[in-house]
Amino acid sequence: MLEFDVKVRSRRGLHARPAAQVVAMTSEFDSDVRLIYEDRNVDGKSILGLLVLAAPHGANLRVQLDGPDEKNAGDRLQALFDSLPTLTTANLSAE
Amino acid sequence: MSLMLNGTGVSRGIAIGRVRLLHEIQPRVVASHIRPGELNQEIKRVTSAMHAVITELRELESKLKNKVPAEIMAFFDSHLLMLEDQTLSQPVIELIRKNQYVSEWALAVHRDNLVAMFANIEDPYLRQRAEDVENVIAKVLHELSGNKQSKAKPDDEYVVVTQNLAPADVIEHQHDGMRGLVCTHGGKMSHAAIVARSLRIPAITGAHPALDLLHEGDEVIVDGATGMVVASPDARSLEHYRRVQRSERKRTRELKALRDKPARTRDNVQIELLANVDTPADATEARRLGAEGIGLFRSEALYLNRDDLPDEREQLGIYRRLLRSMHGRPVTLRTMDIWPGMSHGLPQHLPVPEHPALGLRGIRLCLTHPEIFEPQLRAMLRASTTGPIRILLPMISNVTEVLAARTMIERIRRELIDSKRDVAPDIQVGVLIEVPAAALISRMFVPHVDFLAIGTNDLVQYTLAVDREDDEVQYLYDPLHPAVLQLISDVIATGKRADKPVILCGELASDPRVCRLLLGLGLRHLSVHPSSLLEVKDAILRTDISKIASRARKALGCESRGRMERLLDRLIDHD
Repeated sequence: MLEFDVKVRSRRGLHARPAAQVVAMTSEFDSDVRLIYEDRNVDGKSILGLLVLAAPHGANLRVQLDGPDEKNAGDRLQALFDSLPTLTTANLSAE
Repeated sequence: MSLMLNGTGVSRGIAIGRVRLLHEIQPRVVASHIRPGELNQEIKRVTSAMHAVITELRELESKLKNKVPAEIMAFFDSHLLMLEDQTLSQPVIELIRKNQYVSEWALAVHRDNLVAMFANIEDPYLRQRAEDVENVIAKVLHELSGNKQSKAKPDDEYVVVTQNLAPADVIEHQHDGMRGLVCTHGGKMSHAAIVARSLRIPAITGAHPALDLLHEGDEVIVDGATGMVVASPDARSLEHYRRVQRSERKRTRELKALRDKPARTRDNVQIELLANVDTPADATEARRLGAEGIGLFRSEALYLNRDDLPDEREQLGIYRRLLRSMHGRPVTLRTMDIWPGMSHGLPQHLPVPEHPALGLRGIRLCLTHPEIFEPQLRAMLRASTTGPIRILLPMISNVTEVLAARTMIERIRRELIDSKRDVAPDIQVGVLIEVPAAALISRMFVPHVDFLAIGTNDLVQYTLAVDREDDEVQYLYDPLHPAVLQLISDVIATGKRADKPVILCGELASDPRVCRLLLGLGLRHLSVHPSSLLEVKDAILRTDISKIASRARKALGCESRGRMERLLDRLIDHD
């Protein structure tokens, strides 16, 4: 099992779009993925789980990976969290 | 009799169509049990209904994929992800198996459980995602009942009138024939509004009585610019709006056709047309509209509304995304122009300047506190392997600052190379001319930089001593004041003599007449908001610089705004 922390960098926290990006990636992994924030521990492959996690901007999430591809999965997940957009479409200009 | 009502126009354009009222339609669910022996059959019934909805959404998704911007499609994806989520399906199956509920009842019970979980979330935005859950379950319930939400005939043009519309449903309805959208709730920044703008669907929000006053099938006009809804219009209004609609469509078509045309004047002068952006999403939009590069990325947004500073890794991710969305075209990254008090992430001990416009901001803050600046420069230099970057230094007022910044960039470049990081060999560095002192000595910068840029907003503020935030003196804010024009013209001339590009970044150029004036003064590189790109290109294509250059020079001697206006009008070609 592999455990590490990631920081939520998207400006409005782990909202619908970044959550969808995370799930799109984790569902490719063979490993089980758990995401833990405060007292909530959710399935990292579940969009509903991630939304209910309600992790705000700057939150530190604990990631637990367990399975044959955990090493590679960990690297990819870390990279994804690092590159999560700082801005959301709510900033699209209003003309 | 015709009826008018008002809301907030959130997406421009005229739509004419028949009203389709969408009330929150959650199908009625009867609580009943399955009979013994029907268990497997019932589980199969609910799973195949889910699969049917998934298949339907997937088909729609593949049809729309290249027509709808990726960041908008992401809303659509989240519905699909929910349907495929075991957290959604497993408990439903369990309820059928253990409690012998019929599928509909199981779905409704699980929906209510999920919605209750969302209700505990503090964040109001995430709490509202309960709507997505309800929406997705409603789709499955409709599928089970066999009577799907009545689909419009493909050639029906309709206007949706509803409380609020989920992003995925905006996309879906447009595909089905929706031409306009009227929401009783929401505002300019609600999801429905953002998506409607992106898909160019005329839309109005906050039209409170619309659901009570409008009837299914009413003919209705939606004016997304003014926020006006006209129901059952008389023949004359209809004729009027049809005419406006036609001319708008014609103009849009004409402008669209310019997208891939080179920005070249009638007398064959090539102009570099760039975009000003704040986010990677803006850059995607800019490229879609034919921008040849990014002339100004304002990195400030990275520093706002947070209690920490963006580190190197986070910035690197953003810069790489920008460069990737521009497919190898140049991207100008302006280093941060922030000050203590503007960004809460800056060290608390830094005093908030009494006059931020004149205080420790931009390059001044960066050079006096290199530890704040370095992560940004490192990220910019590392991003240079993804595509061509230009670094732009804001708030420069003397040559020493340029030399100090260049020395720092060079040191970081060496450090990166020493630690085996790749950095592109030729990174261009430029100065943003926005302080009048810098404009007056622009020739002194030339030996030390690769390009010059002009930031018109601040240049006007500092030259005319007019606070941009003070309403009382806005009447003095005049970007075409002869003093401002003289400075702009001098900088352009400096660049020309030294054979270094001068980029003008600002909305000043988005007025076609002013654009022409600037071209006449010798400007060859322009950067404007993505939404102005095509209008500006249109102005460039219609300009013959050889014919207007001498007239443009006269603008420098216009002592009143009235004379300037007359001169601008005379710059328009009459042919």
